[in-house]
Amino acid sequence: MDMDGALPHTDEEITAFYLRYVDTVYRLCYSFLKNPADAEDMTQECFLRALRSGMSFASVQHEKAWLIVTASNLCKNMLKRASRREESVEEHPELADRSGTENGEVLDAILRLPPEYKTAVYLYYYEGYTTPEIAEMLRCPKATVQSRLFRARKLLERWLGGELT
Amino acid sequence: MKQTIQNAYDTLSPTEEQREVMLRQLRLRLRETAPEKDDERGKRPASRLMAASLLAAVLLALGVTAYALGWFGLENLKEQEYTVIKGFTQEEILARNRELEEAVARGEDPAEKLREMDERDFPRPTETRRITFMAGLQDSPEAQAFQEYMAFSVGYDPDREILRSIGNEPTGLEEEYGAYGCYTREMADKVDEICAKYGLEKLGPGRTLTSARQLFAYAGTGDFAPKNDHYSGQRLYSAIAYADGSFIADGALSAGMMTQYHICRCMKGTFTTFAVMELGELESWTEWNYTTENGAELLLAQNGRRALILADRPESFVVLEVHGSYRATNRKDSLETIAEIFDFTAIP
Repeated sequence: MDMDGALPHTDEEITAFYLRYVDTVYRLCYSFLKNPADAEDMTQECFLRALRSGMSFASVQHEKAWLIVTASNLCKNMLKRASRREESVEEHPELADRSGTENGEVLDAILRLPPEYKTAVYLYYYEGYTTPEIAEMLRCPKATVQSRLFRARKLLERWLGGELT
Repeated sequence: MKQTIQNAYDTLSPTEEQREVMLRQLRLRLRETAPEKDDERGKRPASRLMAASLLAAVLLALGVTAYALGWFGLENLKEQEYTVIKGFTQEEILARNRELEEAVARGEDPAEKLREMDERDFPRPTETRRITFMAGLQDSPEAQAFQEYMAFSVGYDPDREILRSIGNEPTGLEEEYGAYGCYTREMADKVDEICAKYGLEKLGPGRTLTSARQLFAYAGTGDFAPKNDHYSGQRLYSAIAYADGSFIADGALSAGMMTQYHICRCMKGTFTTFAVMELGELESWTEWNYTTENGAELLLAQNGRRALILADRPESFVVLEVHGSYRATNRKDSLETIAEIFDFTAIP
């Protein structure tokens, strides 16, 4: 049931490809950039690169992995280029609306994580990838992924006051 | 902790309006940046050789199912080894992608670069693969047709000389024979011959659908997709469906875990080649029969890395693969939970 590795050509195929991955890419971009406008720009950029590239993928999983890694790298580069200051939740009304709720507090803490931890946290806790899968995707040792997840978990627990339920 | 973090990330999902705005802008930017020779859809360059190579890696093998109506198991699936053209490894694919990206960044024409890379990387060596055909009884016309076509394909254009001479130009066979990877009239004739011999229909052109509602209507099924999905607000991402009711679709679900799935339905009486899998060592799989609360009889199987749900329905054979979830691939109760949130009885 593996699909062949051809990226979409037609308008319909492009739409299907986009719908399959847009939520994943957008959520990841948002977690880095912390505002919807930049997250939308970077999401488009990521899809544009994939669709213009002529790339091939061995499977749907590899296609998704490429988009995730590319989105992370684009966001990190954007943050570096712009030397962006850390923006607080209060600067974004759409996030501040959620503060005070458990989801809002946890989200605030996730957004405060250092960039190098964010991709691992998203892939492990949200997308359900295993540590070896993440290590392969990010091209780093498994121990590095484990260490990032451990440190991220400790930071989240510290900021949220005790263990997360 | 996992659920708490998942709930928090859920709040970051784009709204329906945001998705539409981003898609509109993406289409605009694709058109703006498309080369002049391309049409208004903003085609990107593609390598038919590469696509054929990837397809060959999963297609050119044989397996036939051997199970009676009612309960069956993976042990009834017969595997066979075939010598096939070696597929690219993930490393090789990434290296090609990087090379292409760098060329594009230098301002080179991507289509020209692809041709150059294909010239260098083809023909490919061969390898032995063990692949299982997932849709048809052992002596069924579907399985015999598949076997015959695979035997033909393995020996046809082994060094891809013909394919290289055709390049990426249209062949006129794409619509009617695209589902079988045909790029010459000889291949198409073989498909016709096999269909006539075994009394099967061709799949014909696939249609891309982007909503669950469209798929149910086009494939003639009831509403089978998970109803409790809040993963992304989309119950099915996309599907390629055929006029007879066969389809391949991707979706996501959230039965206590976030995961994506791939579902494939092959109609009995149709010649299909897309339902093939590499199962690996059968001993590594844990499998059991399971009847859902609404009476669908299923085979569930997991091996720590993959999870499958199979259903032998009256008019079709359905295979569902759950991707990337440790719980789904390791815990029987998790896979049964997933089986319950689909309605397999809605797929005739």
